[in-house]
Amino acid sequence: MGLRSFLHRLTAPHSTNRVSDAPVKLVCVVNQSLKMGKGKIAAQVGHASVQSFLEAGVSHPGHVEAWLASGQKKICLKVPDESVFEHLTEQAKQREVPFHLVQDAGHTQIPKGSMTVLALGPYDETVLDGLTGHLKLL
Amino acid sequence: MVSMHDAPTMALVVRQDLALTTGKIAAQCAHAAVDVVRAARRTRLLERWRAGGSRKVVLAVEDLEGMKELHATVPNGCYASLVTDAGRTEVPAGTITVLGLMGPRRAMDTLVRHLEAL
Repeated sequence: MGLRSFLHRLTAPHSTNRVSDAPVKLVCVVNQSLKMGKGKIAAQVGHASVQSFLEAGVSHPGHVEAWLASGQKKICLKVPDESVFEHLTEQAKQREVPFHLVQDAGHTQIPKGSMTVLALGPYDETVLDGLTGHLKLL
Repeated sequence: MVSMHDAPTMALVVRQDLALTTGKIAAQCAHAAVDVVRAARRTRLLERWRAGGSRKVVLAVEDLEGMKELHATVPNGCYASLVTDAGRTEVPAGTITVLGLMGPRRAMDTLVRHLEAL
């Protein structure tokens, strides 16, 4: 740790949004209707994860810290089409779960604006299981 | 706004000899992507990468040896991160699965020119 980050750690206020030490994970939900290849899926899941991780770093720093410290647990699930995304993002907003929905730029494989992947978290595993527990593994 | 033409690039290089499932590949690539972003944090390169649309490609490498050779030739100014699996699912703990790379477009093009898209 550098001197500046050490001083920052000493003087920064503690994040208050995380009260328990419950396990934390990141969930990626892939839209199956687009028939993306595995490389495309990997790139889209990578994009969703990076965005959700960076945004949660601002809104939920305690969760992100716990997620990084515990090995970045993540899981990939699938949904038949993008209609499920609306419901999931509504639920995520209500529960203050960080999320990022990827709309493809349309450079390869699929039409511009297609919703490809929804990343949820990093957040408490039990809350995420409540939201996505019924979905199948990719 | 950085144009697509010279925007920095992220490459996620996946080992083919492990025969991972699509879901496993996606999760490991996500891990690599997050680690490379952390390796490059607070750099101008990362800012330009995000401003340029977070360009990324997913590539295939034959085996661990090929991946290590690639890792050894990463030039200055590029960032690299090897993902080691925790072994909870398809492969034994400690298996290296994906190499994440980020660098200026031209350096990256040269580095991964010989690899095919996954």
